[in-house]
Amino acid sequence: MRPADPLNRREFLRRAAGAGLGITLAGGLSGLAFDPEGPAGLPREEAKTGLPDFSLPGTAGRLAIARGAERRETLGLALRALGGIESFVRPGDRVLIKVNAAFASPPILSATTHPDLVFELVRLCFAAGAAAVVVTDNPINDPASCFALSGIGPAARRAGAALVLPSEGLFTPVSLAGGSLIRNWPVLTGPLAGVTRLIGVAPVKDHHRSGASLTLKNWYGLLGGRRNLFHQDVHRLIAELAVLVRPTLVVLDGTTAMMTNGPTGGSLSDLRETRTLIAGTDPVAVDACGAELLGKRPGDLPFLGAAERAGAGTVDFRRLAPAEVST
Amino acid sequence: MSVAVHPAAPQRPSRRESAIAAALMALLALIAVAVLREQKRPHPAVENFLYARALAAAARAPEPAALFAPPEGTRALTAPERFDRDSLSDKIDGKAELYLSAGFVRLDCQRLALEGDEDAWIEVFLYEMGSFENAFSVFSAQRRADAAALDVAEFAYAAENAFFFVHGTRYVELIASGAGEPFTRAMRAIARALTAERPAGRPAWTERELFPAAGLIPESLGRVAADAFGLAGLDRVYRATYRTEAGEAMLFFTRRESAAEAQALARAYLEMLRAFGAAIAPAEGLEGASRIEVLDTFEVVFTRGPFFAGAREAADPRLALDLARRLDERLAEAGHAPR
Repeated sequence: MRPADPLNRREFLRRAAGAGLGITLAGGLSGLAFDPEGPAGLPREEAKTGLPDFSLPGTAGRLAIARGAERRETLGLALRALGGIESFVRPGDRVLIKVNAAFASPPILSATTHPDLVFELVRLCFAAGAAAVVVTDNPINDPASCFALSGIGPAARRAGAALVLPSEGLFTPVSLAGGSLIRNWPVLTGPLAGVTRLIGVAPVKDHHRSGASLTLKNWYGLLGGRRNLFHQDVHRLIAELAVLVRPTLVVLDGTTAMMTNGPTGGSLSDLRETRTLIAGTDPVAVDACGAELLGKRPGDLPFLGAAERAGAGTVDFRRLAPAEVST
Repeated sequence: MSVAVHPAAPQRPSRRESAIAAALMALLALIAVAVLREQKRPHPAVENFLYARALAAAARAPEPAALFAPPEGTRALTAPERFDRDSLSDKIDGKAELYLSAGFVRLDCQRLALEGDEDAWIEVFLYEMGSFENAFSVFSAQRRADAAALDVAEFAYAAENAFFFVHGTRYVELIASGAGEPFTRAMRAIARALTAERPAGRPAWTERELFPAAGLIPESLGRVAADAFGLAGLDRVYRATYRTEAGEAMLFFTRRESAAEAQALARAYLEMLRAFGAAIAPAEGLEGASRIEVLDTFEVVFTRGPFFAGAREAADPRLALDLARRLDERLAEAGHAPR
């Protein structure tokens, strides 16, 4: 074997300079080829940062727990305990009700917001003087089938609300300041245009990925795109949604709770009559209270703690001295 | 000055060279970490482009033929739908992971209406799981506690408004929009039509024979496809609950590729429980087995040849030991190598 040539300082520096030049050229070419916009295919639109805050000054930390089997009755009781619907909806308001219409399944399965509750809430908003009430969701399944078969669509229309089904033009990219998941992500913002009040209405359900589907998870239905990716980090996503969406009021329907096999269920034996409806202005507290209907503690649902740490509310719902009423 | 390299005695790099080399390696490592970190984040533009392309492809795909001929008294209410591994969550959202981890291949579904009542319908879900074992996994994972017996298949049960059963490599759900005799009658007709359309014999499933017969609660028989008992990697686990005079407890086993793999899994299981504060000691009366006390319950776990097995959730340590010994005997009778 031929012995290696001696390596002097000059040769070393020459080789080092050559290697450096090679790296610089490769990096430079990569930089030229880099497309910061990503592939074409979507309209290029500047992402909005955050969503409007719909919470009302002076109503923070209100919480009511109403017990009874009849949803329309318990909703009325809970709202009265919170100061009446008039505390949240004033004459001329334009109200958006975000329901859970995720699945094209019948009301008896309790996988979606119950149509009786939708009807009554729309009716109460109009009774308080709302100029318009809109009901929307971006369901998992085909939207038209979901709203029709869940009974939500007919109930909303019967009460006089407008139904907005998601379509491509209603989504705009939104980023959450400081968020790590909701960044330049399509959000169903179209129905929010001109809205002055936002109310979330969700059923109490077990959820295979997140442990529970309550009012915070309900905001997942505002997301578009390939949102199932977020299931890999669902707790963080729900916590980010809790920061992104600041509603006027949330209503959690635990009249019948889906105890197992959520979020779709399928069998009546997955359900239990828990005869409780929770309403409030702190969605984290409402969900912490609702978790108990599923036999869970806030610590069992990591998204609750994460939402609290992010400043979206408190898991210690008893500290809010909830008003407890029953039929 | 020259940095001489003697051919017979390789030159050691100078400190400066070593430092430069280390800095370059560290820089490369940093770049690799940054690339990996960025890759892990879903890029909205890319993801939504792929999603839009998938939707466009789905829209171009021809509509599949009817799933099967609707039986008498029913008619197709909606067109059939098909979902694959990428789109399953578009149908069942967060429950998709349960199926995906069990080997899901595709889902076909369709709604059938009952003749004469527009609001009365049944949705048929046909989950193709690729094997009987996979189908049985998702069937047993979701089995409802107060289920009623159903004779449409060997593994089947009925709820007030639904039928659930395994047919060949499929897991089938029939979910009605209401409860009552007309729905039950229609679901039975649909189940008959489905099983007649694609006959499937009794599954060749030898694992269940390994469970001791006495005391076994038949409907408790199950298979956990992945992450059994909270341990990542503990998959393909068969389990069954036993009712005895001393109380109830679970027996489980999983067959691995080798005895060494079974032993490694057993060690990982014990480590996990130890981290949760379990008290672990040798189980007297079953050679090589471990006795575990955790959260006021007792377990006895062991390996036999390629099997990792044991008894769990016993309120009495003697019950756990007794059941574990009976399972060990069955595994031995079945001709598996001693530990």
